[in-house]
Amino acid sequence: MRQRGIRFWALMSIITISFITTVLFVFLSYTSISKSLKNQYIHESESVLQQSTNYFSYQFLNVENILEKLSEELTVESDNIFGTLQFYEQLIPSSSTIFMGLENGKYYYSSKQLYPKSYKVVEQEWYKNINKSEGVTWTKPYMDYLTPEIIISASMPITHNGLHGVVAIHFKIDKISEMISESRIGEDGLVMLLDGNGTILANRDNYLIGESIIHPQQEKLLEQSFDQLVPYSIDNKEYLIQTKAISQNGMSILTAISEEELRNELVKSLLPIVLTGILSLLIFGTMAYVGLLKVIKPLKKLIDLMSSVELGNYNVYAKEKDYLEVHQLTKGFNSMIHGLKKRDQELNHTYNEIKKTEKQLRVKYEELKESEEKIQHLAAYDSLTGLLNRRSIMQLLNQTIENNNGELYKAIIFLDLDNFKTVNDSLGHSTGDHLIVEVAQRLNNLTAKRKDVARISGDEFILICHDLHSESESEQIAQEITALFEEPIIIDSKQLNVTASVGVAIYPSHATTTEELLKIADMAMYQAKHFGKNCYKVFDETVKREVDEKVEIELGIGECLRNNKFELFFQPLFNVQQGRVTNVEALLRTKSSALSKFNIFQIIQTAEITGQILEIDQWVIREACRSIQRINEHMEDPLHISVNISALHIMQQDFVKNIKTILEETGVEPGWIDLEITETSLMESFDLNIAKLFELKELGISLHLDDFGTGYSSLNYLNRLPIDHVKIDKSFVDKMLQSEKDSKMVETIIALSHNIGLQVVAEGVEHEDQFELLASYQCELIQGYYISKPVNYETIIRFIQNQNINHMSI
Amino acid sequence: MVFRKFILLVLLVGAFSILSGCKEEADSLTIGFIPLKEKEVMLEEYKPIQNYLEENLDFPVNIEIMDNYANLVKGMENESIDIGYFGAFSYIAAESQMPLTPLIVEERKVTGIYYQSFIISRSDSNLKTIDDLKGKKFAFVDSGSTSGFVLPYALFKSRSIEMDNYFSGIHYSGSHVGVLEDLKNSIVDAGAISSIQYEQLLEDGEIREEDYTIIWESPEIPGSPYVARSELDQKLQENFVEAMLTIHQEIPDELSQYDRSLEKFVKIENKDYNSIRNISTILGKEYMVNYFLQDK
Repeated sequence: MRQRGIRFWALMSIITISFITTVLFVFLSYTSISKSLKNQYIHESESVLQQSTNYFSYQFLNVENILEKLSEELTVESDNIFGTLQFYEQLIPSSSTIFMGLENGKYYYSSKQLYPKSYKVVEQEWYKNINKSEGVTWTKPYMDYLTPEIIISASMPITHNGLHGVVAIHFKIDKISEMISESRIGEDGLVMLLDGNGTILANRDNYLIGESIIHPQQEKLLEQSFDQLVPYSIDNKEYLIQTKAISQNGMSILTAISEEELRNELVKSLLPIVLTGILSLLIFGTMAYVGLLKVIKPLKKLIDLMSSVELGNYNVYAKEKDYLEVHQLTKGFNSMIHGLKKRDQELNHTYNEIKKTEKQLRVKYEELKESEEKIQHLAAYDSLTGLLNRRSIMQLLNQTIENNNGELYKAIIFLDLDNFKTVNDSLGHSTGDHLIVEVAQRLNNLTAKRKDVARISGDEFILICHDLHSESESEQIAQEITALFEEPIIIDSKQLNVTASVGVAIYPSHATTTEELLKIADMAMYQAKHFGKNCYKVFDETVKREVDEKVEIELGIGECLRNNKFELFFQPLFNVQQGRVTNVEALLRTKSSALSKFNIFQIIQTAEITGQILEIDQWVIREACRSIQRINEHMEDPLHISVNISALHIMQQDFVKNIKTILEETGVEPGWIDLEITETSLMESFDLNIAKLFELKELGISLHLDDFGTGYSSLNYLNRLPIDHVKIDKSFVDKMLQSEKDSKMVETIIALSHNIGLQVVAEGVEHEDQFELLASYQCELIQGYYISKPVNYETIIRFIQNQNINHMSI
Repeated sequence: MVFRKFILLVLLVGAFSILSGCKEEADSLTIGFIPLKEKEVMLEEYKPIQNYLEENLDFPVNIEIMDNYANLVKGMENESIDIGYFGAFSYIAAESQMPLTPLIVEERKVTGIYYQSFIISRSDSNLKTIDDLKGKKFAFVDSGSTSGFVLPYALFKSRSIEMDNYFSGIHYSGSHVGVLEDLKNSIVDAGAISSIQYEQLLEDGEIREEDYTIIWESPEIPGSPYVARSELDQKLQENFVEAMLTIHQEIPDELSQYDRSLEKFVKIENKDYNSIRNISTILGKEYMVNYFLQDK
């Protein structure tokens, strides 16, 4: 809504007030004037009425008197008659005539006119009109015989002095009207003489003579008019009438006030007043308005000053004058401005300070931004090599898959450095870092054009090569990578032979999601690892199959562990010297249908990867302890049982504790327990493991070194290990009979072992020849199909019992 | 602003005046006359006045002489006549039929606005009184003529004369001059005529005073008025009145040629005609009016 100024409101209020005042004023003046005017007229009408009534009463009385007198005085004698008539004529209004008519047709009259012979007096109205009651009767208005003017006659019968006739006085109506016309009621008011029937006898200006004033439904009104003022219409005009009776003859006087005249008079009187009123209102309104404007003026000035203040000019000052309210306002205004000025200065000062602070903040902000950028960079990149980190490469892979719109392939390559740990451990972390950096550089220098290289963990890298035109290109790349590592890396003038295992997944052939691709590359790489050092494997069905197998086995193992589907098989070890079985090796077997299609080797391998081997080992150990206890219950010479321990198991911190716990649980004699550990398992974390071995030894457990001859051990280590037996690997036994060299080898191994106080177990003996040869070499224990294949518990019990029997019998 | 208030007032006043001034516009004036004499003669004699009016009013003025008194009333009714020159009685009769505005009346040099009705006879017929007329033939002008019918009729009524029985024949001559002609030619024995026409004939030398006897003279009757239809354009009415009121100054010669006894025209006062109204009331107005108006 638009804001309206004082002018508008002032104008509105002035107009409204003026309007209301005018209306009231007009209304009041109207009512008062109309009342007074009406009263004026009524007063006039009443007085006229009274006057006229009196006058006519008097006149008619006079007439009656004269007629009476005449009727008495008239005698038969003619000159007497005429003289009398003349005499009395003087007493009546002029232009009236006195007539006397006799029964015999003679007539006498007072005027000078001549009446024609045809005039028959007895036939005349006035003669006939008498009633026998001897009083005066009046005719209706009728036309005079001679002229014909309208006359009215008052007649009276004469019945004395020998005369029989009528004496009458004729009045000219227009003369009566003249008389009545002398009275006025306003301009258009009427004064009229009515006869008993309401016929107009005389009227102002001779108006409506002979007409009846009576309207059909209005007799009542007419009656009322004798008492009060009554509205009545005469000749289609509205009047307010009053009547008064003239007692003698049933006539009456009627006064009528013209309503139209009344109204006109009212308007006429009212108009000047109203106009004056309006005029004065206009004048005063204008004056009020002008006055108001004057009052507003100082406010307006203030408003103008305010506007310049808005624009920032605080140097204004309003003059304090005029009247009180404005004065106060002005004072307030000035002090406000002063206050504003001061505050303005303070604000400026503060503003400058803020600006300074702002500058400082800005600097800090820039610094922060820099740090943020750095952090972001750190978050995305590997700090050592400058390559992408795991997070970024994964994001990148996600995005590149999303945005991929071509038919080109991508290769996702997993790269794992073999034996990086060894380098780090043996040559130190600094060398290790340099190595990683060098690898990263070499990878970056690969010929593949569009590639992204990331270091995802210590010695693992991921490469993504985009826009390959065929799958074989990825293989080329993998070859190139492995080729990189054929050159030795020189760090700090040390020559390092580093190899890598590479796994390749191809998008979109092998998979289309990031997780899948990474998993597949990882699987492939893992397979490559098993091929040996510096190998690559591109994912194919075999990888998948293997992985699927692994998963299946893992699940199967889990199920077996839960549902106790593992069982121990036992393979006896024949003691050559004693000529009997003195040891059994506990071997893991499973009855589970889930694992039925896999051999135990696969199962164990998988378990070693998944870590389930720990649980398995625990179970095996425990079960072995229990079993040997049962076996040895009935044995004079207790047997030993040997259990295979995985490298993973050994590496566990609580390895020894576990063994201890199991021994205690089962309550088995520790001396019956042999643990078989492979060379390779021991070699990793050598120092740590040694301590554990010594601990075990203290418990009374014997240790066998498995797969002896196949590992990386040096003879030095051999000396330091607290082992009892070494087991010659099956491969030696197989080749033993093939050549001299081979048999010599075995012989040497056995001799060597003996020299350092170790006993030897030969594995995989299948033929008697082998047996004989080994026996000749002084091999202490023989294990193999030649003795027995691994059998279940019941079978081994029987075997041992039989053996006892046999032995007994030897 | 105060200015706006002013405008409002002005508009109100303006609206009022426009509304009040709204009456019919006219582009010509038709004046109708009662037949006093022969049509051609009347037209001829009126010509100077007609010209004068046309000049003054600045548009065509048509003159129509009606065939009879009733037709003038009818012509006013159907608006073919704008202003009518009536006799007193025909005016009163017309008044009862439509709203009329009486404008002006002739003022004569000697008698003012009044004239008389004469009953005349040939001097040689020896008819000297009304009583003598019994059994004779009588001529009226027209049943609407004041002097040529109404007043004689009133006279006969006042004397209780039954016209149809009293006279041997009643003739309506159509005009005042016609009555004289009929009398002259002995078609009738007596007739009623307006004093103005009679005196004009005398002055013009059409008749000789000694040839005719005035049997009866009526009292004064008001002269013939020019009456306008009330709905006629106000301005036109005003202009007409204005013109006629000053005609005796403008064209005095032509005026006296038209009617020597005419002094000037004056404004009518309605009350002047009350006497005729009253007479017709006394005689029985309805009957009179209907008798007159239905008579063709």
